[in-house]
Amino acid sequence: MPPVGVVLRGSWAPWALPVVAIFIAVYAADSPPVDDRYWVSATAAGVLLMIFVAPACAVCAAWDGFRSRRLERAVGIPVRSPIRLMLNVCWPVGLLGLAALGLSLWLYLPPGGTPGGPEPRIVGVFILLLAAHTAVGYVVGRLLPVVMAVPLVAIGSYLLGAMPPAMEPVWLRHIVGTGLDTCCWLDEVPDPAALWAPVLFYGAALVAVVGFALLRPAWRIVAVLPLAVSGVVAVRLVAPMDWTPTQPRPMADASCYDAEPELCIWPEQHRVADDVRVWAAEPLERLDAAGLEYPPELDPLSFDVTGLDPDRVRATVAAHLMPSVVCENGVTDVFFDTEDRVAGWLHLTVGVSDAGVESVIPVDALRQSRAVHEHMAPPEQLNWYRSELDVLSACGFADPAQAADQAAVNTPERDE
Amino acid sequence: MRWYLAARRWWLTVVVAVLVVVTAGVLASATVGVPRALSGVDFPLPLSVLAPCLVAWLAQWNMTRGEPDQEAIAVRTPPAYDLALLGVVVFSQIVAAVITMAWVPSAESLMVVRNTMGYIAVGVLVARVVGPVLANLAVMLVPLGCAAFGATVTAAGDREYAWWAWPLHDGSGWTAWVFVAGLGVVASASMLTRRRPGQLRASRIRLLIE
Repeated sequence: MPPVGVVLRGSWAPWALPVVAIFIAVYAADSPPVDDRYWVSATAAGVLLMIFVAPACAVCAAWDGFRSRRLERAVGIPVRSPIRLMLNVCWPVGLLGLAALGLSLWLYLPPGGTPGGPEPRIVGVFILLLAAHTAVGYVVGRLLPVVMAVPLVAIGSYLLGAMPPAMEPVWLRHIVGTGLDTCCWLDEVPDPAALWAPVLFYGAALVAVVGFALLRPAWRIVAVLPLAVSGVVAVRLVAPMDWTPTQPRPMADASCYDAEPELCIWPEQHRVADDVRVWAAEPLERLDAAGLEYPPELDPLSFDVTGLDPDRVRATVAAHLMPSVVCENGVTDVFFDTEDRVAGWLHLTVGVSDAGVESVIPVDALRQSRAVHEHMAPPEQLNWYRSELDVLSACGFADPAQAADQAAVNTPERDE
Repeated sequence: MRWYLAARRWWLTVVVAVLVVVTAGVLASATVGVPRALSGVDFPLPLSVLAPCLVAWLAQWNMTRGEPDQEAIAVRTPPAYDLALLGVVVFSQIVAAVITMAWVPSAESLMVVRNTMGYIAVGVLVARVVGPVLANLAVMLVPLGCAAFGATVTAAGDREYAWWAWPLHDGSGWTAWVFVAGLGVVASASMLTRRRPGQLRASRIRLLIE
């Protein structure tokens, strides 16, 4: 192995590290985790920063590929294997990637006392992603003139990270791993398919690079086969997914209290567990007073963020009561309007503050919900609520004129 | 001239330059999300702003394909040839742009020609300081940097650009053309006034003799 000083002097990685660190520091503040007190979310937030780190690794590796090719021409055919040669010159790039990864994890470090640690599966995907970009960069650096190789791997690596999230079909974002940036609320965990797909894709890219290095030139086309095969497998894996890379968190992780309804607290919320039990009682009492009950068939009451306060608990109770309707033939605008009105009325009924309601319900719908809440007697409100539920369960597909009349009758205008 | 053309392979750049104009005209709506600095929101950078980088990179590649030792003692001046061939590349793009605009009416084609000229000029100037490899990286950073630091999206959804973010300006905006013209003049002067290694060597020898 060449002396460390010699490798470091010729590598671009030591020069790239401060540049990458500046990029990470600038952009980390702009892309906070979904929940900064949940380790899974804090780890996944690093995805967005990887779109800077991966091109940096690829560029440095392309330069190293050029150097190793130039050395071969000067010195002659090397004794060591091509893979050994690559590892000998590319280790500073690996350290660059790990340092950048460590920095992005450190910047999103949850506060002390947060249970758990960095999500190892997501960290593993990041490491594989950086290794694949590095390896492909090295091969391109060996194959193409360095003047072209360096900018091409830089832009190619950047586009691979930046373009798929904005493209259709949605499986593209899951294959390259950039879909993980929306992971995860407290009641979610990464979908295994969203983790396996990038592992297959980047793992196959690494295998292809190894094959490319070891095979004779005439057989190098074979090296692409693993990439094609694993690409097909990965697509089949994530094809059924929508744009979210998450699945519900197992309730086994939560501590559930025997109450009506059952109240479940995630480990990250234990600090406020006693308060939550008190806060949850109040909106349930308000529901009782309004003549509504929390349906026993609903999921246990749980909360999707760590930063809880009484208003957030009330809003969660209201959100749990929203009916989940399956509309195979789609929905109409009437459906969405009704949904907003019902959500507004539920939020007002459980006592969510004005600011809290206004932040989630559109102004027009809230005006109508408020009119019902303030000007109707409780039994009338209950009748209104049930009729609105009928509209929702019909997916808003009543006769439009009838629906409009119904809405006018059911939603009295506020006296100006 | 024949050896020069064979070594430099300018034909490849001409072909790519034409393809970039046509592609940008056809895929006018394609964009790449660039995270804007200190805002956390992506800016949709049109591919037509990014694609001309390819032509500028190839131009740098063309210009580094010579044999420095032989060119140093050549009677003719390769930098002047390079400048002339860069003119051919731009001219071929203008012709392609005119044809494309008749086929797909959009201002993108004109924008591509302008940005190609600007990126080539930036590449030539930066290459004089740090060499062609880093110059090509710098060329790539021009549109990305302009999108990250010089673009804003108003509440109404309109896009506004800083005066210096010339690659993002419309093809009809004169500020960007002034920028590009200025860069082009400086880059041309830089190419024509560059001392060749042979000239350097000759002056040293003269010093030694004296």
